[in-house]
Amino acid sequence: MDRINQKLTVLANAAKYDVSCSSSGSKRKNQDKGLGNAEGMGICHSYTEDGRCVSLLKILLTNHCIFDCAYCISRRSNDIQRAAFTVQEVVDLTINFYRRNYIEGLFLSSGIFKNADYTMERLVRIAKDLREIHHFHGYIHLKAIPGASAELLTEAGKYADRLSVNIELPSEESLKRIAPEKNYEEIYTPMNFIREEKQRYTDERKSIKSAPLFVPAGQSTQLIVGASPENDVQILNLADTLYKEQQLKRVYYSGYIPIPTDSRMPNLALPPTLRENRIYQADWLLRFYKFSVHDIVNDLHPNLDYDIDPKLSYALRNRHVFPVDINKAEYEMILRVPGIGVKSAQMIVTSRRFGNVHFDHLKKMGIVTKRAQYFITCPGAPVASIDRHSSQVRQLIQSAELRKKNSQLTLFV
Amino acid sequence: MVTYLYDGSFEGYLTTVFEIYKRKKNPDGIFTTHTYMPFFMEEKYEVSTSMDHAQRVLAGIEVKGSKDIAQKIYNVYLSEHPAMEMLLFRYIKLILEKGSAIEHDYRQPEILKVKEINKQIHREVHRMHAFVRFQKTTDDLYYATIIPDFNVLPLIGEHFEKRYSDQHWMIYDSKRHYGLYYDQQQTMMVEWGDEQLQQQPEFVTEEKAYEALWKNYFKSVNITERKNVKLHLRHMPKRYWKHLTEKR
Repeated sequence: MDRINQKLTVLANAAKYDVSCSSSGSKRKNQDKGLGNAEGMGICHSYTEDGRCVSLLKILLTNHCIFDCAYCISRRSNDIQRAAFTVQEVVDLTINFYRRNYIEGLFLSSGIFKNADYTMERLVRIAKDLREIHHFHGYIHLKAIPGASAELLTEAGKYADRLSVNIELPSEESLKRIAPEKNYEEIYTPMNFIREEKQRYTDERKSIKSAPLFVPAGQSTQLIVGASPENDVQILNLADTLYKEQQLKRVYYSGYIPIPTDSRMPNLALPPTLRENRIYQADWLLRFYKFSVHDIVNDLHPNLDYDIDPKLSYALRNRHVFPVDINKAEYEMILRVPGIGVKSAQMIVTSRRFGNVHFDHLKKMGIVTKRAQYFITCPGAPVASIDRHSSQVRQLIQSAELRKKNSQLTLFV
Repeated sequence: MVTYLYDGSFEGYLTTVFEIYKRKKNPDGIFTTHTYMPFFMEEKYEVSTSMDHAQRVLAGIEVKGSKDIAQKIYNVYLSEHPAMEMLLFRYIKLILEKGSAIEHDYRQPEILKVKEINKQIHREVHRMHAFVRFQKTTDDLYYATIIPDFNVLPLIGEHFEKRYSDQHWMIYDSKRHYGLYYDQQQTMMVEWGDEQLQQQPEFVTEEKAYEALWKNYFKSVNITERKNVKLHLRHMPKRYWKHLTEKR
């Protein structure tokens, strides 16, 4: 076990910079009294001291790599300890961790050894053993290795719940500079292929219920923030395209963590966690709040305002669409009010069918009225609030929140 | 002051609702027999639990309301919330009078409160899905101890049954002194006598090794440059730590 412990230290440490952790959205059910169930909500089984969720056993098969990407800790020119798991070791760890309810499943990635196919074949082999020999129905997320053959990707899609190809650098120019052996075409080829195959299987399942699942939890990718000069418009436009055209389920953003000793990389003192957090908030607005990228950032405001969240920032820049009448406005407009989240917006629109919703009701429903008051009208709302100038509102909200500020960052209310 | 007393069971509670309607005497208080403190000048009714009457109330709630509403009521009962009985009575009355649609009028304090407690229950159920840690005993049993904030054990069996259908497992609530046991066929509630409780389960030899591997993994995926203890604590409050292998 000592040897496995050593390998685990090296290969978990090397995998942790991939921030994807989701284990949700699959449709895989337990069958024939096998082990595991991946339908329904994902579960975060633990949280590390950095506050990130631990849902899957996230490891590399090996950190040996023929590439030399400057942002990556496993790049071949980096002088670090190398290790490799055997297929059986990964299978045993997954099953035994799963049976103890430590994890939802496996997230397996790898450095590229020999070539893409050779690497992909081994990842597929592990997923296949888990599914077919161990009747494992838990969650499996595999990396799709750029350059791997179509046959291998198809096979991977049958065993995995999710596949991901990481774009990493938000423009091809930066990618070529920082990761000279990579290019966008090689990244988009497997992504396109998986999307088309998934569509084909989905169509097939409409007529034949028993048709096999293919990547039921879809694809995701990761963008590194702060390692290259792209601004927030570029990053969010790229994400928007990935959601709409590539039908990705998630785009993850990873604030660049300075890995010393490579002159191609910027020398940051701390990872840009605040910027990363604001980008996540903007991503939320795109996916759940019916905002467009243009609403959030544009040529006039190419970067997010890091002092306030993007929803408040939008509201302050667009006072002409406010105040919103709580009892009459469309759901979409209510969603745009700072301090009102998706669930509260739904509560408002169902409740107002029974009669007028008052300011006191809003407070009790959990709406952050300290923010919302400047952007709404309803019986009982403080009238003076909506006439204030944007800069004054900004100041009032910031100072009110500074008073109860705790230094951590959260997603919206 | 009109007071009703029941035995603390869900069926007993529903029977109480039946009695209130039968007697046409609205309650000022509903208590369980063992928490009840006698009060001066009161009109007291001791309800004896009737499965038949409980069933009729439940059926009424399901017809006038919905199955979902009945589930919400059960969840509030499991919350052990101190004012739960009177809240539920007002809620049930509202549903029986106005029908299921009223459930979406969050201007009503009872509707909002029932929703709020349900949210807390769901969070606790989700936490138990996440924080249960099994240890394998020499009898091939995967054994876990938990202390949830609310009495959610009855709500988590199905999840573990689906997931671990090929292993024997037991989840024991050491505060409420009962557990769920699954024998690869079905899940049942079990209560342990003192004798069984004193017997420490014996774990298989590889158990220690897997625990060490898990602890090591947990440490290795942490990014020290991003340390954020506040966030860590918010997601994993300290009261759960003693049952979490990686935090013990």
